[in-house]
Amino acid sequence: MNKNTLFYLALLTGLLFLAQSLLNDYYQRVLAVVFINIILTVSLNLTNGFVGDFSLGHAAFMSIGAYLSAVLTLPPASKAGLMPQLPAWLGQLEVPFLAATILGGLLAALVAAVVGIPVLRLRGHYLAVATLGLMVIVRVVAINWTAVTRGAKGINGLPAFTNLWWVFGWAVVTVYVVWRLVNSSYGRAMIAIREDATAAAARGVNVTAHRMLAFCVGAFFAGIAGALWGHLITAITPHSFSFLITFNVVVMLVVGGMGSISGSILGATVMTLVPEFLRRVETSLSLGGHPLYGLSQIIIAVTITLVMIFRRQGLLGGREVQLPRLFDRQRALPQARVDTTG
Amino acid sequence: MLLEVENLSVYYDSIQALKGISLQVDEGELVTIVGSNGAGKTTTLLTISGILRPRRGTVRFQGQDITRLAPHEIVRRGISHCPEGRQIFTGLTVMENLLMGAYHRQDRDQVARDLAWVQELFPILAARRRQLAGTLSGGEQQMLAIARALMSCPKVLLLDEPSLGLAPMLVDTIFEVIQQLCAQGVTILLVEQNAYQALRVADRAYVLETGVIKLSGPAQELARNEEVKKAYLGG
Amino acid sequence: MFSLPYIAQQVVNGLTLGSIYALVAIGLSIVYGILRLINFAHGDLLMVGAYLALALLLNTALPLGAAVLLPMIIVGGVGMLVERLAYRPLRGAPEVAMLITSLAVSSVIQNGTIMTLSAQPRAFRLPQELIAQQKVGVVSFSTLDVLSVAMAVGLMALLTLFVTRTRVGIAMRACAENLRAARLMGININQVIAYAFAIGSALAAAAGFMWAGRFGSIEPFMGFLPGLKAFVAAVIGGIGSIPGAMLGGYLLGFAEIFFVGFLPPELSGYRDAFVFALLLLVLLVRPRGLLATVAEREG
Repeated sequence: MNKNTLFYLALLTGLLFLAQSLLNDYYQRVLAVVFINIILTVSLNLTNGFVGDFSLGHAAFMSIGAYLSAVLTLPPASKAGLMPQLPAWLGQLEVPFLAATILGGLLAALVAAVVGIPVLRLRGHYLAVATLGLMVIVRVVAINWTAVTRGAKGINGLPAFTNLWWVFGWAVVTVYVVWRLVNSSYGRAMIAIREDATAAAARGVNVTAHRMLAFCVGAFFAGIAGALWGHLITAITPHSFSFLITFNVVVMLVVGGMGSISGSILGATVMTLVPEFLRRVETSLSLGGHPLYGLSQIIIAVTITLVMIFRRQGLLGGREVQLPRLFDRQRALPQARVDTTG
Repeated sequence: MLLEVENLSVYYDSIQALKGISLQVDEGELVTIVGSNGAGKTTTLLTISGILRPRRGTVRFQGQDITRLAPHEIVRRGISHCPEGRQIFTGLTVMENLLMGAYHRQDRDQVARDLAWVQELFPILAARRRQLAGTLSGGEQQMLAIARALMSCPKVLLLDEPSLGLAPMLVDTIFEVIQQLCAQGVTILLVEQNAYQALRVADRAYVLETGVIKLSGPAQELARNEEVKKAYLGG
Repeated sequence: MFSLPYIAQQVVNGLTLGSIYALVAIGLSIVYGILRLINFAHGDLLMVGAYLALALLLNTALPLGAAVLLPMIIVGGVGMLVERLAYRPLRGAPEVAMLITSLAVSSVIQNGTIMTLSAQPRAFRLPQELIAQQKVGVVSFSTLDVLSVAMAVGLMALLTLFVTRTRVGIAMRACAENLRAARLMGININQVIAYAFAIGSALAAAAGFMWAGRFGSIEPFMGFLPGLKAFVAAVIGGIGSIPGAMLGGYLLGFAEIFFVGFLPPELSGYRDAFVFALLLLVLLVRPRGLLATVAEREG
């Protein structure tokens, strides 16, 4: 890491200290959700933006990460009460939050690999349906596997481990890993696949392996985000991670511009704060007596349709925004433009 | 002038495929565009039929500007395009393929007469009219593609590489058919890599090279041109 | 072991459920065939159809037939409108742009319903004589079941006639096979696509009536699962092919009923998971479906 990166990290850390001491609980929570959404969007960008597959599996992977980490972090005493049928060894287990989060991510990645084997042999868009199907499968398992998941009741009373530092830390890790990956030979192969899979294959790129890599890394971070989310809200049910979450992450991705990491960060931030604001407007508006629930989602959906029609490349159009370099004589070179719309 | 292309520039994203070409086809003529792979021949035809949009330049047909019209409007006006690689509908029967060629036409009697005419032109199609087009041989598929294009009752027929991938004997047959059509008064704009055959049957010819028209003139003259001989006729 | 009447009963159940899946799958399949669009909003049109049918049943004295037919016509129109407003401006855009837009359209329809009619489920009660189970021989079924199957078969027969005997119908098959060649033939593809959306949406509305009648209640998100399952059906049959969608619909209906009917009851809660596991399996062994016409390109 160079001086610039360190400077900006330090700056962000300072701001975060400030936020922690100045903001009330509500705003701190919104800020935490912003960071979780950054993790989700940046990781989804790997498949959907850089490789050009279209996964809708983030809700499923979040769910997996959230459930596994919940079972792992709950103290044995609560587990005995909540889930008496849990196998003894699992009932006794209490895993630190960091390890539980990582294990949640790893299980999500493993599931992604299993699903990816049949699906990634086909054109990218089968992935959309198969991953939505995966969401249904995960939900059905969560409802029926009552010994571990408590079925439709869900698990509540999760330790509230998640704070601004955890989500910030994981967001930094996600951005760093995805950024390194994208700027490695793997990333160049991924972009080549997106531009023309046949040509990439002809040049010796192992198309399936790279699609699989992106899919699994994306799933890993979605699992992490699910674990963080569970320990932020402290309760999860089979319906916590619905299609709506997936859709909203897709919106963040598209608004920021697919194929741009800084775009994902921007998109996640904007599309978390704006709907949050709209939701408060929505409850105060009313038509003939009843509040206009659903209005904010309609506005988001119409916006995204207009983006698709008029500015398909999103806010940043696949480019990366670079923060000004402060400790470098040499001026930042303009980044080569990567066209994601073609 | 029946068909006039003026100063046409076409881009694929940022790559310029046609660099301001102009050409004309007069009523009753058989005009050919020859050139090597990637010279822009197919691009020219696709732009005339409205599939591709030019960045600059115009296409005029019977004196009217048709540059911005939708493809089906262009077919309705009388330009029919028999695409490269045949592109027949393999899951439709031979008869259904022919009817698709006449999609926009309301004159049922005339359509019936044209159906009879193309089946006379290609008797093999009559024998196979209930068969799925995908079951035809390569040569038969090419005949179907031409017949289907003729079913729109065109004033100009655009033929893109009709001899591509056919056995030499079938190539001769296809060119005989082209001459026969020409004799019946159909105006044809023929795109070919097989410059020898194309220049033999055509009235006039254009030589297209990397998006630019390098030479033009009567086909016989171009066939004798030293440059053309060297580049396209194998010495 | 299972008795013969029990098996016969499962077949009847499979037939009814399969009819619904087949009707929904057809619409998905023809649209995918022409535009390569996975229309995620398709299931939501099923929902709109069910709500319209309920409104007609509750507020008018129209005969039952009208409560089926009118929503079909209206939803057919809605489908065309959606295509005109949201999908047509994206003609020639990458497939992913259309996919995202269809997700957005789905969200608009769902939330529009929530906003105007609330998210609360509503009872969808058909007259008792329609839903009462009657025993005929060894199997029992309701009049609704019979009508559903008959209507589905009738509609599919009409559709088959349409795509083999009419100019626009043949053009629809031509467009599904090769859109560019269809344009070169002078086929107005916008018109054909509008027809495809109208027909597919109308069939979804019919399926919505059957679905609502079967389960007795409707809510704004009810279209999600049948829409997604119908896509599985379309993939099983070979997406893009109309006979494939029909076949896939019935196969999926039977598979789902048999899964619940013939496997240990502890597993029956997993039926939806089974459907998508089946999808993964089909993609693994026969990725182009049973009657595929769409040549899948890598990448």
